[in-house]
Amino acid sequence: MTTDPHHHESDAFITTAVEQHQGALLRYATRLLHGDADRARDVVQDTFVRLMAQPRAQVEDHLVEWLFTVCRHRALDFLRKDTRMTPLDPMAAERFSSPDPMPGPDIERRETSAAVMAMIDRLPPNQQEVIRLKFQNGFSYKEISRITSLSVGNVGFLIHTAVMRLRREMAGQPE
Amino acid sequence: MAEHKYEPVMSTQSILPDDPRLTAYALGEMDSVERQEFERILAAQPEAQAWIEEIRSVADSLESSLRDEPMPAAVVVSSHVLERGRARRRPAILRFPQLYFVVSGLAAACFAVFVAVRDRPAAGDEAGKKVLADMGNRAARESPGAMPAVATDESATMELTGTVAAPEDTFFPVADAETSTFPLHVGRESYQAVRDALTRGRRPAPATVRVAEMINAFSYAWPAAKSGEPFASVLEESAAPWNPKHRLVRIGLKATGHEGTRVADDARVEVQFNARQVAAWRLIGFDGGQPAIGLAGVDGEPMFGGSAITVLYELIPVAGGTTGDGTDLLTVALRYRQPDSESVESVAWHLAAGNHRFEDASPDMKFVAAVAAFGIGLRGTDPAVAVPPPTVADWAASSASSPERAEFLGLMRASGSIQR
Repeated sequence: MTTDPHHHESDAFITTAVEQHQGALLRYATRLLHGDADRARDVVQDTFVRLMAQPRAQVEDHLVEWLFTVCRHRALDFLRKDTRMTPLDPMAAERFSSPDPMPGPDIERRETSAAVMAMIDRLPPNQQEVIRLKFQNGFSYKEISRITSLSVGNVGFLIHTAVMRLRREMAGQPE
Repeated sequence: MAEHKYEPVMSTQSILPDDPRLTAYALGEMDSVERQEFERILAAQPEAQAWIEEIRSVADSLESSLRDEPMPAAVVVSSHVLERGRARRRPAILRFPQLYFVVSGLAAACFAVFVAVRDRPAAGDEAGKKVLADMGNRAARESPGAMPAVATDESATMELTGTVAAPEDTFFPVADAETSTFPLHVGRESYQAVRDALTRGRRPAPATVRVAEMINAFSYAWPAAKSGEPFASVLEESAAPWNPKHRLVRIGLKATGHEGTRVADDARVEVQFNARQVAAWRLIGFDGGQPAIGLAGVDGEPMFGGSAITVLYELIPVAGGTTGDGTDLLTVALRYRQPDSESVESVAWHLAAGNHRFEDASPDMKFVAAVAAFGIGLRGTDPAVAVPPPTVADWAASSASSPERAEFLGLMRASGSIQR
């Protein structure tokens, strides 16, 4: 039986983790939960509760991957439990696809982004997920494999298939 | 030297547009060996080089577009949550948690509201537990020296076995045995014997069928095994495919570190069941001659880098079924010493109670369950798991991720027509 003599240190570790990663986790969870931002908050919160139960040394060197893995499990738990869940509430969809309120990207770039986002939205859900993990969250194939429980080969196949399809679409070619 | 060996093979290969290596290469996902080999093939194929440039440009647009995607407003994690997290930290090691938390996961809007309940199990669960406990105690009185045990069926006709004469289909009530243990090493010989017999179109002799060895003859997917972390673990639960009222739990432990290096000494695993969720349990697939294996402590064992164990537990939930309220179904704790140290270290993993369907289980879970059910059927020791082999093979139809697995599933299907 061990007790943690470093409560303050641990709390700082947790607080930093929350500050740095809750936004990305919430965005990921909301996607997995078909736009249900409230439920996504529950999932993200539960993810951090689990982080607190975890010895710091066990998660520290792969914290972000760990958070995404747990977050994904919790989100899928919710989906499995609630099979009645409707795919997408239109309000949630609108909220989610609204343009960034921050001043920033110029109009042309925003239009390009919107077009690319629309293409991503048309991909099968499993391809969308790995594409986001790769290009939005910067995970490696191996990390994505551990987060999603897919094999590395499978991850590579999904990403390649999606990228080749997007390449054709961006070039204006039919599929 | 390697070049001489590989060149003749590689020179005959060309890259097609659907080759995932193109993207893996473009994104820097190859290790140096793969990269060098791939570059050799690329050198002879200018059109493939052009594809890689295009992939990189798609990757750039994806990165910049996805970066602009709105990030939801930040969550505030309240002090209640911190409190709850701290409380969970204490029972993380070995002892049964004395503090239960009920989280209303579906009360989505009020996410900061948690209700803590101390030492107050639900009345219905308590009643169910008592029945099992009474039966277990009676069994112990009636046959001194025998393990308290109840038979598999939790229905009204629950039958008392009294002894552990048929240990393989025996469940132990959590009221009497809230912890279990299992060996960290098992052989692989049984798989070979079973495979050989089936390949020759014969039914393997029941005594040669040892389910735990069959399960552990295959390799499974492992999550994050990072440096400094001595063990990787997999915990998963779903309905039992042969009895949807029962829960099936897969526990996998793997010693990380370099292949063959001594990682840990005197390693012992302890599985602690949450009596609020679980009424009775059994460890699947260990030899009938070792009835106590799931109960009595096994000796501490050394663990070597790369060595792994996968076991299955079948659980009878408390009356009313397990509840996915955020509490644990069970905790797995591993105690060990570092080879040169006297102090005992421990690491624990929690498995939250859930109600996952078997259909939604991971491919590994499905495969392990199929191997277990098939093996139990071959042994003929447990009528409750009497499922026709082709049906069992269907459970794992989507899990044939290696030639070995595909072959074994094929043998399973074919065994349906083998006579005793």
